Amino acid sequence: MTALEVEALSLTRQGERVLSDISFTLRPGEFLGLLGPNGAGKTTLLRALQGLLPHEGRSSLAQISAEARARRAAFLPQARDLAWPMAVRDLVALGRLPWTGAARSDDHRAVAAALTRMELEALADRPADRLSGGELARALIARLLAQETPLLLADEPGAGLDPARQISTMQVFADLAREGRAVVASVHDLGLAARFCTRVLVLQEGRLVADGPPAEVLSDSLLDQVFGLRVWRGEAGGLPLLAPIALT
Amino acid sequence: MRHIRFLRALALVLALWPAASEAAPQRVVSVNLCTDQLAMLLAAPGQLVSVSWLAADPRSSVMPEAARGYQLNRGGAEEVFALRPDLVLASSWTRRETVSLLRRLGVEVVELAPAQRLEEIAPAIRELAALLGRTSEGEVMANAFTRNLAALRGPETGRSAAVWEAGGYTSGSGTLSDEVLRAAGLRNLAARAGIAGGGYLPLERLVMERPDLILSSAPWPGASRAEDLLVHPALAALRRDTAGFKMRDADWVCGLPQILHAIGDLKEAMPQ
Amino acid sequence: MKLTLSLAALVALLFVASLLIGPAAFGPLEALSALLRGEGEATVLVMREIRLPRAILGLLTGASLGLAGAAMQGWLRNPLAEPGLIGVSPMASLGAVLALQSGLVAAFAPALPLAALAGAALAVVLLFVLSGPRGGTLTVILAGVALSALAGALMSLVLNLSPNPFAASEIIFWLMGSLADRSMEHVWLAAPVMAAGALALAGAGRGLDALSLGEDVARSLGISPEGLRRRVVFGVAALAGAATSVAGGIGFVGLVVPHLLRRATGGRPSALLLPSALGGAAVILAADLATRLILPERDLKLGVLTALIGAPFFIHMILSLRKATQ
Repeated sequence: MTALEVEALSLTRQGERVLSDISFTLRPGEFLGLLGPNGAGKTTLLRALQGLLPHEGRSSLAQISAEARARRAAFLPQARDLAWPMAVRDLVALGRLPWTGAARSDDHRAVAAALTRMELEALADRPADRLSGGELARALIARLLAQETPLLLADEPGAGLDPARQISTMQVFADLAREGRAVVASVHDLGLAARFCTRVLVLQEGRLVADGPPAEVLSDSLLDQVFGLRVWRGEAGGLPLLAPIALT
Repeated sequence: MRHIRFLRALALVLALWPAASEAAPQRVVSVNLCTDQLAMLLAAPGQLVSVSWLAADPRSSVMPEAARGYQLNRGGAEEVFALRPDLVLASSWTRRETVSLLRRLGVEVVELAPAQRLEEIAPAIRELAALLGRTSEGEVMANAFTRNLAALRGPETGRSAAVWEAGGYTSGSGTLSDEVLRAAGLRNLAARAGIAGGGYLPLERLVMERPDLILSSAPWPGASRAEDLLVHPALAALRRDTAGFKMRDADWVCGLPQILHAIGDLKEAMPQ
Repeated sequence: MKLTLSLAALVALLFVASLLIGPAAFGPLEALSALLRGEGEATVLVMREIRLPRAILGLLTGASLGLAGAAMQGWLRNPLAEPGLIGVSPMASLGAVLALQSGLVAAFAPALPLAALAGAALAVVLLFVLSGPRGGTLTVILAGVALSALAGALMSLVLNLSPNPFAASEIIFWLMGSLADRSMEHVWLAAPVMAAGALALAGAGRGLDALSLGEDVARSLGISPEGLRRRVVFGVAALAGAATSVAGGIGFVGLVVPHLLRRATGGRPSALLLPSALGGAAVILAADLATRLILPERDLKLGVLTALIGAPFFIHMILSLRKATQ
């Protein structure tokens, strides 16, 4: 049983190759970190594999109907976009839209669980236009969680969050993976990726250059080659620590 | 166009033939300025119940005093219906919804096209008189009008005139104003300029053609940019050596016997 | 829910007031017994054929404009959007103007609303053709702007070339918007079209909600933006086109009403649809009553009144938006 299969996915935009021949398979329980410098194709890959962009190759998610996909995978885009000032609870409840026909009590439970996971209970009734940027970002993640899909796709979920919230958010995704779901998140913070992801994919100029556990993949030579970075390595509480020091 | 008008008149006459022998309408309501005035001239005492409010406005009506003796209406269907008319006189330009709603309510509505030529006035008088069951009165008035018109018609004077109203609006061929000008022996500049119906005569053209007489209406209350043109310097200069004539709008608007006043005034105002 | 009920009560109140107020003098009891039991010959006709259709049309056009405005704002994710943006109302007006000018209306009275509906239908076809099968909101708006400009120019051309001052003023007055002296015929013409539009929009609520998170998320929630676009464009066009066909040009209701009710409905576009329809109905019924009570002798036009009330609201909205972004 796989959560996602991507085979030879390629994408050309205005004659330019944006993604080249990307293949990977994701299993339940995996927390996949999508790494790569700006413009490497992380966001494009996250959108293409859901069928949001025309592409070549195959993605198991792009092939199923929109309704089925909405119950299989939830998506958090990079833009923290909300058009109307609705209350946090109503915003989170939008994640339940694919589940029409499900019991009301199920919706309530899912929304309450998502609010709890993102520590938003106290803000549940606050209109979104009276939230801080970080609070809105967390509410949008809670919306993602409320969809209760086996697969979660998140584009830079930590953006706009303070360091503590970045850690707790990565923890939430790691917990979800441990509970048997699959998560794909593009991440810029190499340290967080090294600590929380079970596996990382490294993209460079639209190509997949490395795929594996962070401890194996994030070698000095790869970081130098892909990011042009030198890092400091350590360990805390049994988890690897990794901090960029300087440009190479 | 003329065929249609003829057929319509024929149809009306045929439709009215039996009606004329029946009882004449007892409660007539008019909702249009032109039918208001003609009906006031023709109706038997007590036959006409109500006329439109415009008929009581001296700017637009030649008989505002008489109109105050009637109930004034605003032409709304409910208001008219509440007057319990057995005949409603309207113009072909009366609001469509009102006409069709009144007809739905079973009220007889006759739409009379406004006269566009002098020779249409006598038939219009006869037509309305027949509707009111006042055929002989109508005959007398129509004949008197035709006679007076013939007596008033002057020979071609070779002089030219132009109607020049707010915004440069003028009356070309096929309008009542054009007919009045010609009856007074004047040549209508706008008609010669190829304007049919209402239209706009450029100020430049007016200045170049130098009509012998410029007709304009007295300004209405409330400022309007269109009326500014009437005091344009070029026009003012032209006016210094051209006769001006202030039209009394009320005389000119409708095809009434009073249109003869307009012709008479015009002949008097002619520069000698 | 409470808001919806109180708005419904307000609409009911205004509807009854609209039935009871008019130039024909009779008491409210007489009026109601004529309406309901058919007692009193002339009064029955006034009530059932003059006041009832007017009140119904006030309710329907107001509800149509309010609903169309709420859907339009939800779809475009913009509080300043309004049904007129997609160019359907101007095209409907153009149809009506052509019917008036060609003399079609003089021969056959229902030609006016029918021609307006035809104009609206043509606008929808052109919108879909111009914006293509997968066109986004921007292409639809641009197509709408083009249609509005074209319709406006053609209307001006008709007015410009009109040789008859009576015809020109007839057109101008029609364009100002009014419900005076409409009959049940207008109700039967407009109501089915409006119902179809309302039905289309009623099914759009989920999609509009999802769209408040952006198009990508809406897709990931199982919504097809193409299907939603078809629904919204058709629904708004049917509602605004039918409203224009019977009442002429009435602006600002579709813009101001949803905006005013948004916060009270919690900001969710689907929750705004019904209250906005009720709010629109209340505004038009009240404004139409006002045309009968304020200066009844000058035949004040409904569209003029709504614009007079709406424009200051619009200015206030712009100012508060500016404040919010500073």
